[in-house]
Amino acid sequence: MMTNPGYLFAGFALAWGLALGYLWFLSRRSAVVQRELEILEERLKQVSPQE
Amino acid sequence: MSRDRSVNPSPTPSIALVGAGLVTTLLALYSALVFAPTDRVQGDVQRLFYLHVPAALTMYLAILLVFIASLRYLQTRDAAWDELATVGAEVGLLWGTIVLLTGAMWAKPIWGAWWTWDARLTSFFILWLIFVAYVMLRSYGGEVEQVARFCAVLSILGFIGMPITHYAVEWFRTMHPGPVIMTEGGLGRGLPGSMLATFALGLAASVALFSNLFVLRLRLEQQTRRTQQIRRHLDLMETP
Repeated sequence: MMTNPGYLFAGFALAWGLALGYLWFLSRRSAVVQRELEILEERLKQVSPQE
Repeated sequence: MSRDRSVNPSPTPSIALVGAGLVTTLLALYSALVFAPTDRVQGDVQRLFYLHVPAALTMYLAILLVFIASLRYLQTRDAAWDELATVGAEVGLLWGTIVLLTGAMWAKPIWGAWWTWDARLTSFFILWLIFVAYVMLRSYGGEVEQVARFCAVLSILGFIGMPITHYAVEWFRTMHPGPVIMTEGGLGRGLPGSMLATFALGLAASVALFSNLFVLRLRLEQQTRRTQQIRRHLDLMETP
């Protein structure tokens, strides 16, 4: 029989929630910035084809 | 560290790093929740130890990393060191938040309070606030080199605060338990073997997970800085 299971699982859930939430945020943000970067690189090539 | 980067040169975690993260995490979870014996005094809530203490040690590692990268930045003014410091501070702050939350979950059933202003908790909270200030200063923006210098100074403050936090349990009378890993009797002498093995797995999982998130966040930082660099370049070219 577990003692204080609520606090134990809340602790693990909070830690995992934070880590996974941050991972989700990073993946989303990275995809957005990557798209933006590709558009800007393309624009840069058009403006200065010699570079 | 070169500053020249093409469209997609940013790092991603290697298969080995992701694999190490997954395997150690699963083993650490099993070990913490099933394998490790139940503490006779505190009961099962003591199992938070295998999450709380490794997270705190990983945050110390992040503080050390940020400190070294900041010092190197101040010496060389190479923005690559500033990138490492920025990323280390943000991911380290996440680990610090995990330490505070798991600590509160552990404290409530054992001390009868979520929080107490004792020396260890207060000094750790100040350390956490230093990293909150660091991340806020970064997101505030402003002149890039000036922000980088201010942040480097903050990271030095954080590094000074780290031993104060760590030794607070020995220097002051606190409610927080004393060291059980690095004791006067020797490394790991304060715990039975099964608990020590579970702790070691928890530490490995914490460091592996930190490393994976660090590499992903570094990729994002490099993408963002490259985007800003091209924008500035385009603005200059398009200005009549």
